[in-house]
Amino acid sequence: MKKQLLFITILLILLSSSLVSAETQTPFNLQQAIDRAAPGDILQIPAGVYHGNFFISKSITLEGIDQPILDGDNQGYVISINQAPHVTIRGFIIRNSGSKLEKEEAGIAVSESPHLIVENNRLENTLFGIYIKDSAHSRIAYNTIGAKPLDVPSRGDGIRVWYSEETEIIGNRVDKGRDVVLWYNNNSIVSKNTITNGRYGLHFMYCDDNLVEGNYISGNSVGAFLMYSRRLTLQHNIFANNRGPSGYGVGLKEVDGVEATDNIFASNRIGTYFDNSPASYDMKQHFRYNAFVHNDIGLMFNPSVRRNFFSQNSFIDNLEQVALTGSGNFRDNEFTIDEVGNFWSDYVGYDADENGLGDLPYISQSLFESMMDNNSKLRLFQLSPAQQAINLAARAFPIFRPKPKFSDDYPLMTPIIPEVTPPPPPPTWPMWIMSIGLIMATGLVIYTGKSMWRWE
Amino acid sequence: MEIRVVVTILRKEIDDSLNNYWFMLYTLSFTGLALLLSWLSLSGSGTGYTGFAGFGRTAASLINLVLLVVPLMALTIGAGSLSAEQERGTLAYLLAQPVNRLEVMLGKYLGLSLSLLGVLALGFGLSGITIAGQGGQSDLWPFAVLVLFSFILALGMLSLGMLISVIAHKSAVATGIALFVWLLFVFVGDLGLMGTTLAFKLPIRTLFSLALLNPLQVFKMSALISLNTSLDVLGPTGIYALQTYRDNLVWLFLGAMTVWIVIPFGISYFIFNQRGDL
Repeated sequence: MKKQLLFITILLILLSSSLVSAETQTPFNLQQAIDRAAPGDILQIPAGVYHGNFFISKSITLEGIDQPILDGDNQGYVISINQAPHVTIRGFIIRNSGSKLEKEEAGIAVSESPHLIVENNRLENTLFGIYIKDSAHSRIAYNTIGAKPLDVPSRGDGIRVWYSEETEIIGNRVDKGRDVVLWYNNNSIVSKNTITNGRYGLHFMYCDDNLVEGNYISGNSVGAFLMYSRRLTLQHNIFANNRGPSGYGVGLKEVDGVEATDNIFASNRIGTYFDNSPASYDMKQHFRYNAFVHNDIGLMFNPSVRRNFFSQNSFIDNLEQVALTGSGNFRDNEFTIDEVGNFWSDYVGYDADENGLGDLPYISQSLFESMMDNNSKLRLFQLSPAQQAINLAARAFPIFRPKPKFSDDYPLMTPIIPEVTPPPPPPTWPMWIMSIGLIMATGLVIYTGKSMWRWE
Repeated sequence: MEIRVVVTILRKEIDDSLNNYWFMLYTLSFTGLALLLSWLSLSGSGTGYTGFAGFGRTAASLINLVLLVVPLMALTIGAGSLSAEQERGTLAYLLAQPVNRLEVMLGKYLGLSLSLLGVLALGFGLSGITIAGQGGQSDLWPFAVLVLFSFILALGMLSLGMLISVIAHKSAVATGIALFVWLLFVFVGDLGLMGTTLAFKLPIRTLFSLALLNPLQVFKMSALISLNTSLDVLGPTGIYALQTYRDNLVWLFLGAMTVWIVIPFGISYFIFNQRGDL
């Protein structure tokens, strides 16, 4: 076996050294080399451009040396792997898949090949990036996946995984794809990925007992849309700037048993959206130590949602901290667990006994908010003096005062900052220059007026 | 029309503004409030997250401040411009000089515009320094656009103020009308539209078109779109507007605001030119 490996490597190097002169030339026939390899072989592929659609049906390792390029010439799948356990693809640039959405053409398409490893590859201009079916115990790690420059409806998914239990998706960077989507995928780990500018950054369908950890998910329509799954753990993630008609940091649809800790939800249209979640009567969901910052709406609940528990979260400067859709009856969701509540930036109470908890309950009660909750068109009037006038009227004349939305009996006095590294803030010098320029403009205006008597 | 005459009147107007107690009061309150708001919203909680935020709260409060103060300032200043001079008799004296009425109006309008620009630049400049000094969010573009749109709003309201000034011959009357118009734009218009929306279940399209009639709403939407690159903070109406008009939306807003500059000024020149009783 070892002899064979050595032989193939030497063969490949010989072949390539004799043929590879320009980058554009195919050094040798890669598909033939794959076909000749025996199960268990490690094929080390030298740098160069290899055109074609490559097919693997046995347990081999393809290892790129100095990032060889596999180019599908915008036709079909660049690599397809079928019924071959223990395949490894490592260190390649894989580019130009076909763009037929109905055929789901992908950079790497895998079916019925458990224990797959795809790592340290760069995918460019692929419709689907990595598409895995029926391949349990796989590992997709540290790949960079760039999509075709298409409108969202005609894009494919950056990573799509079907029926592949215990799969690890770690440290990938996915940009401008459709979703990173997992279907029927239990006991999997999605960690330390950066997912930007897609439709659903992360999309779970029927995935139980998964861990989502340390991801940075930004600029998507929805950061993570989790549906019909049970017992999910979300921790140390950042969901930021997910905006648009959906625009949720995290959307929970009929999910059962989410445990969310230490996440940051920042500048999304809606931090977390609850739609019939938890779905079953015996399930509870807990949110602890999360920060909801600068979202248009911090939390949004559909009327029937029950059994969510929030404690030690920080709700900071969301335009509306908690919103309810429609005129449903908000109940059985608690903002205090064991006499510890959450931090609310708009809390106006005090802490006389200095135990870190406000002595008056935080009561969410704003006339304009409840009007907006009942008729979302009124959001048009947000941030206008008329909005403040309405709230002022409600405070001055109790007959206008709406029913309190909810209350937090033990609000925290100081926010708790989750331990995640935020992106570096932009430099401040443009602001300095702009501000000083503005003040100089004022000076110029004054000079124009004052100097006239001296000039004439 | 001679540019030199316009410039002279313009500079005289700025000098008058600098000696005008009302003007100083507005400057002081706008600048003070802008400073206070940007300091408060950044020094409060959430400072650790400014890397994520648009301007967040700062911008929101600055937009609110502009919506309240800038129209008030521009309308009353504009309303006082010609009517006060007429009361003092200086207008008749000015028109006895070899100047025509277009030169007078343009000079006054541009001079007051520059004075207002000075106030806005001072307020925004100082609050910008506050923001930058606290290491706050410092994307240049949204801030610059906020200043620019505030100025365009001021120009429109000033133009309307001058129209009031030409119609009302007494400066007290003009100021009264200006205050009423201000109330109309800031509160009555929005509250009325809100009531109409609720009572008649206005379709989104109609609601958006009606909102375009209020220059304050247009300013708010333009400022938000430059801050967020989206209008989803304004709910279905904002999303509708962005989906329907996409990149043209900014031009639509600019157009809607320019109308408020050009038309009142045109009408007031027409009336001023017809008038013989000075």
